[in-house]
Amino acid sequence: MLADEETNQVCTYLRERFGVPQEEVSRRYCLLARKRTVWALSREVRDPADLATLKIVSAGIPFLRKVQRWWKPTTSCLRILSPWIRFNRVLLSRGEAWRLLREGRLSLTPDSQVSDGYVLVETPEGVLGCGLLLKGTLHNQIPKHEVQNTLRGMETQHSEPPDL
Amino acid sequence: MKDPGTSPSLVQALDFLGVYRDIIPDFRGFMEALRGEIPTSFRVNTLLADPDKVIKALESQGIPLQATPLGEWFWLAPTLRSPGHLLEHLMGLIYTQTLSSGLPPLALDPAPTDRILDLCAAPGSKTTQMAQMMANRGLIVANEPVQGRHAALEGNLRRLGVVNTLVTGYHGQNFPLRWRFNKVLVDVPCSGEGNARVGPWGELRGFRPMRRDFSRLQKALLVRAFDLLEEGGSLVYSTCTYNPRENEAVVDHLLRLRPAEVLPIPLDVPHEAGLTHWRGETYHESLRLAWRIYPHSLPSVGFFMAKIARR
Repeated sequence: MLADEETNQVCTYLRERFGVPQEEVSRRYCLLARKRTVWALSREVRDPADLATLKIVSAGIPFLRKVQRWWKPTTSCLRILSPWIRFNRVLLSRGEAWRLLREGRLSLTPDSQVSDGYVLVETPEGVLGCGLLLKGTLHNQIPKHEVQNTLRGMETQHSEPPDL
Repeated sequence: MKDPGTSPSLVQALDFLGVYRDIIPDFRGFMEALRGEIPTSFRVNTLLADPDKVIKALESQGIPLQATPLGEWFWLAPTLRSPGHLLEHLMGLIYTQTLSSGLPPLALDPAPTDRILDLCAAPGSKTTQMAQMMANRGLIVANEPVQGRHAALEGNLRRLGVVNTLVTGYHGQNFPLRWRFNKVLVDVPCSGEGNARVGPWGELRGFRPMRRDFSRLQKALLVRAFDLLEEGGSLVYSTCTYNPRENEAVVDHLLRLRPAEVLPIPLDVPHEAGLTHWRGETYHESLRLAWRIYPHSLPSVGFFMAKIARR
């Protein structure tokens, strides 16, 4: 379990950076620490204590990582918190989303609702993941291997079935 | 081009699957249904997605979709080759899954208050489906003995936003008995015959015949899964093979050893009843309640499942 002080730090960061009400995080998720990563497990997990002696490989999903002194939200964190994220959201068209994935960065027109730092990147269909906005350029923070898997062969996604 | 009528590879496919001629109704229709690829299907992940919005987005990209008997989460996309390359897949809004693979969780019927063990979990199709059915509540222990498959399992849990799951790495047949679950899913390693397809010249495709006998491991896994159930709990045993020795015979073994009862599966999906005898072996009468899924009645892979209660 994450110590109370660190739990407060996480909740404060998510409130100040994204507007997520503190109680939404503490009410929904049990935060666990492993090395420099904070994991989120549902609070509704029944009797987690009696499972503590299981040899657990992982619990829940990676939520935030400590990068030097700063917190970095994961893509999965921003996806599950998206209903409560009120600011620092960047809406892209599908074309812009593909460009961000292909090129790793995208120039944006200034938006007063978004400040430099980590942002939630979304399309009209759903949340793409985490991005880093620096001086008008959005940098992709979605895990590289996931992006590469998606990009590999995307040109063939509509091929017709073979004529047998 | 070879003449399909005389190709030795055609004989090979028929030779291999022909042993099931007597138990598969409309065997000719069955063989015909195996031609071509397994139709692409996917599940909309309602933990992150609004199904209407996702379906509209896919259709607006010119992807023809068909509804399925598995309900509003499961869709067929017959012309789609690689759903993994869609933006919707990267965003965790859809999960590529065969229709057959969607059936065991539906039969187990997870509820938000359940404590569930998925004994052979990777790559996580059924785990993530159960998490979705539980609205990310309750608890799932997703067990996978092969360490090399943890990354795929954890990657899928992350991508789909599943937060009610612990991953463990025990050999399923040795999963510690200190814990009890009210539901267990045991989708065992099997010979995989249900993935077999017939190629353009009648050759067997998508499946490599194996000499390995899986039934011993399958019996050990099913007995342990049963022993991990609370009294009154239920489990679903499933395979993707036609072989009765990996299906009915395994469940019959459990029925002889433990106070187990085969339950009806209250789903409205085309299927055939389980067998009560095969090649001189006789199985418990209640195995009629088990389900055999054939590709000519459901456009998917061949499958078997039985729902079992602990009396």
